Amino acid sequence: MSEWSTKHSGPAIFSETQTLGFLEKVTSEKIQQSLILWVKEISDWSKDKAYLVGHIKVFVEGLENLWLSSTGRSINIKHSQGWSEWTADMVTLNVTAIVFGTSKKVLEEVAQERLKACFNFGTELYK
Amino acid sequence: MNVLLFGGFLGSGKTSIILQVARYLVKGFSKQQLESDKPSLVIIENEVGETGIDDKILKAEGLNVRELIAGCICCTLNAELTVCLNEIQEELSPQWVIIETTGMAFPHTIAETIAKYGKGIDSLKTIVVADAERWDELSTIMPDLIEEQIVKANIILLNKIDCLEPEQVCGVKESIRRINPSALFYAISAHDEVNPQIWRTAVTYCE
Ligand SMILES: Nc1nc2c(ncn2[C@@H]2O[C@H](COP(=O)(O)OP(=O)(O)O)[C@@H](O)[C@H]2O)c(=O)[nH]1
Ligand SMILES: [Mg+2]
Repeated sequence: MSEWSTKHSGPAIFSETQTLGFLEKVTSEKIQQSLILWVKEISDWSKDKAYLVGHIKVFVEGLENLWLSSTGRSINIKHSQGWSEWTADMVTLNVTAIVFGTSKKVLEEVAQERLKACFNFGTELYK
Repeated sequence: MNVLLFGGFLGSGKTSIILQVARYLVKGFSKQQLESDKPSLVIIENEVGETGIDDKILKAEGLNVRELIAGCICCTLNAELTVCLNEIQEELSPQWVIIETTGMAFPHTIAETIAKYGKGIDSLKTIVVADAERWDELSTIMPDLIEEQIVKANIILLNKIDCLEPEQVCGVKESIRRINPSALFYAISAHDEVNPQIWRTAVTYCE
C-alpha cells in the first residue's frame, strides 16, 4: 500500500469558481461534453497514478443548471428542465476535485490545464 | 429543534439522500408551517474548498441552506458549526435541522460538541452513509477513517446497492455490523425513490 494512505495525510483539493465567456453562442450539449471530458480526464489521470478520487463535482450556473458528479467511476449527470435547449454566451462553473495521493499544487496545475484544453473553442476567462 | 447529523465518506451519497429526506419532511409540514416566513427545515452544508456545490443543488430545490465552507479538509469546523446551529435556533427555531458534514469528518465528535454546546435541541441523531460501490476499496485504503465514521452512528444507510449483487450487499452488511451492531441499518439506493417507510422510521426514531 502506498505511503500516503498509511499516513492518513489529507487529500489535495482543487476548488474554483470561474466565469467563462464565449465568442459565439455555445450549445449546452457542447458545454456538457467538455465538462464530462474534464471529469473523465481527472479520473483517468488519478487512476494512472494510483491516486484515490475523493469526489469530482461540477455545477454550472447560468439561466439553466448542470450538475456532474463522480467518485472516479461512472459520471452522474443531472440538469434543470430547459438545459438541453439552452445556448449560452456566458457560464459560471463551480468545480471541485478532491484527490488523495498528490499535492494541491500538482492537482491544481493538472485540473486547470485540462479545463482549458476541454474549453478550446473561443473561450474567454473572466474571473 | 430536531437535528439529523449526516456523515459518511466523500461521494457516498449524503446530498442525494438529504434531498429525499428533505422532500419527505416537507411533505409532512402543515399549511401553516409552509406559509410561515420562517422555514421549518434548515440545512447546514459543511463543504471543503472555496466553492460549494452541493449547497447549490439543495438551494435549486427551494430548500433553506446555510453554507459553512472549510478551507481545509481536516478542519471539521466543530465550533463554527455549533455557533451556526445556535444562530438558527435563535432566529428561526425550525422543527428540523439537517447537517451535512464533510466526507472526512467524524460525525460522532461533532455530535458530542453539539450535544454539549447546542441550545434548544430536542433530539440529535447521527446518520452515516456508507458507499457500497467503494466499500472494499475504501475499507482497505483507509479502514480507520471508515470505521471511526460508522462506529457510533445511530442509523447506517448502506447506499448505492444498485452497484452490487445481492450476495455482495450481504457481505458488506456483515462487515458493517461487525463495526457497529446496534445502529438501525438500511440498504438503499438513493438513485431510486427510497421507500418512505425508511424515512418514517428514521425520523420517528429521532423524535
Ligand atoms: N449508483 C449510484 N450512485 C449514487 C447513488 N447515490 C448517489 N450516487 C452518486 O454518487 C455520487 C455522490 O453523491 P452525493 O449525493 O453528491 O454524495 P456526497 O458527496 O456524500 O454528498 C454522485 O455521482 C451520485 O449521483 C446510488 O444509490 N447509486
Ligand atoms: Mg454532499
